[in-house]
Amino acid sequence: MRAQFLSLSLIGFAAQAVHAHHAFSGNYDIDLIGTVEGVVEEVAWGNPHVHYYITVANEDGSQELWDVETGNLRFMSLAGWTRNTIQIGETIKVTGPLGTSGKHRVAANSFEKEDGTVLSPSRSPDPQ
Amino acid sequence: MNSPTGLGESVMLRPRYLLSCILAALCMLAVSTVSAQTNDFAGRWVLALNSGQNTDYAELEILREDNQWQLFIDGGPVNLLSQDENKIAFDLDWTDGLDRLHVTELSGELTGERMNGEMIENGERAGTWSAEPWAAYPEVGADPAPVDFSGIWSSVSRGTHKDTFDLTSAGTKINDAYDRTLDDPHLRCVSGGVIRIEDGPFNYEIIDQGDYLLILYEYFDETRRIWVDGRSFPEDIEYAYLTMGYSIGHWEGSTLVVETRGMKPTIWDAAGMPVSASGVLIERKYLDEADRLHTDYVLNDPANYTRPVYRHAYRVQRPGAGLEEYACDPHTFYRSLQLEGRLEEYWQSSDRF
Repeated sequence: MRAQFLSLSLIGFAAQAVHAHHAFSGNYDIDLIGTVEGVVEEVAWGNPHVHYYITVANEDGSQELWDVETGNLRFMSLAGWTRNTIQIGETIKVTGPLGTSGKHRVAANSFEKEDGTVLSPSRSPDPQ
Repeated sequence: MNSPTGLGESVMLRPRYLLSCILAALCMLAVSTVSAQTNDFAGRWVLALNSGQNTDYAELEILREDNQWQLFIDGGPVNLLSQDENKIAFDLDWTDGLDRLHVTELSGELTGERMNGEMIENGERAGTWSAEPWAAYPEVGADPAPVDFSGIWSSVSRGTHKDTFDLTSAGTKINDAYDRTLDDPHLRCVSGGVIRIEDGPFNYEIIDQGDYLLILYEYFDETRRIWVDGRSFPEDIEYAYLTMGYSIGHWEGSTLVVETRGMKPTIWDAAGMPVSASGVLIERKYLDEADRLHTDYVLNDPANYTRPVYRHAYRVQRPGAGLEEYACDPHTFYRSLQLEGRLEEYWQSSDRF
């Protein structure tokens, strides 16, 4: 498959017993940064967070739909993004923490368009 | 209501408090030759954390019983790392805007009646901190002197976002059963309630309607009325199960004291901290000398917590600030669950906060 695992980095959170559940530990592995390339199938421009769904082609020819999550509308807008910044049919590379347990999802740190343009979305300062 | 927190008053240095500070400083000079004693740490403190960007405020309580220390920040337990004469070190567990857990070490020393020190995270300096004795509200019981809070307010500080609290067995049961990926109401565009909406990073607008203050929140397009007409709570308010609760306010000097009851049982943050139908939220809203709108929050909910939960936030008015449509669409929640083959799990097991 074309998901490229660029780096594995330990962020170094201090270990502590906590009675709390966190979004990233639930959906994303903050230590597992990867890049996924695919074609945009759906743009979900709305709150609580903007999502893009992209089709990723595997090496065996099969295709899988991946969920790309960014920030909320206010902070995406403040970062200069609009509904048309990424459009259906575009091929994009997305880099960020990948989903836990092999989930086909990525929390986007950056996007790269086909022409090499790199875009950084907002990652909302709200845990939803 | 509970004993007043005093948090904001120490922050804003109102004239009467300034006088207290001067008197305290004179007293400090008088005893400056006496080194701090162990028990001098015991008490309630206003904790100020300066990361270099903003200053966040919190309540620090240090208890010493039977030669054992107990430390709490914003009502949640923290670890004492060391204490030797006038030096102390403790940690603070907190979550950032991306829900990542941090543990920051605060080490410093007590000089007179003030603590100062450095914050260290992952071995690197993360800022400075200070603590001053918790002051009683100078305006408790003062004659009403309403001020105008009208305007659109943007969040600057949302407090420490302390991560853990001492939960009762009932609170623990709720938190343990909570699955962030299924149960968080915000994921499916259901408002998380008055505490979470107040605490959100989005703008809100306050409009003075005479008998009540109307607050329009961008977060989830919520609205709230704070009645200031002298009314009492409706009977059986604890069965009201209102998303934004029922809020009654009164002025103590220029501080608006708001009591909210009748909240629906839900969670007030993404980490699954619960609030019960019998929970009572006390807010003290006031302007400081820089016209920042501060709010001290105290959640008294003995059904879920062994101690009150605190938070301190403040906002400012920024030129050109507005309220945007929130436009929440639950599509992505169900779409993502469908992609992961978890829809059936959601229908079968999710708690519906």
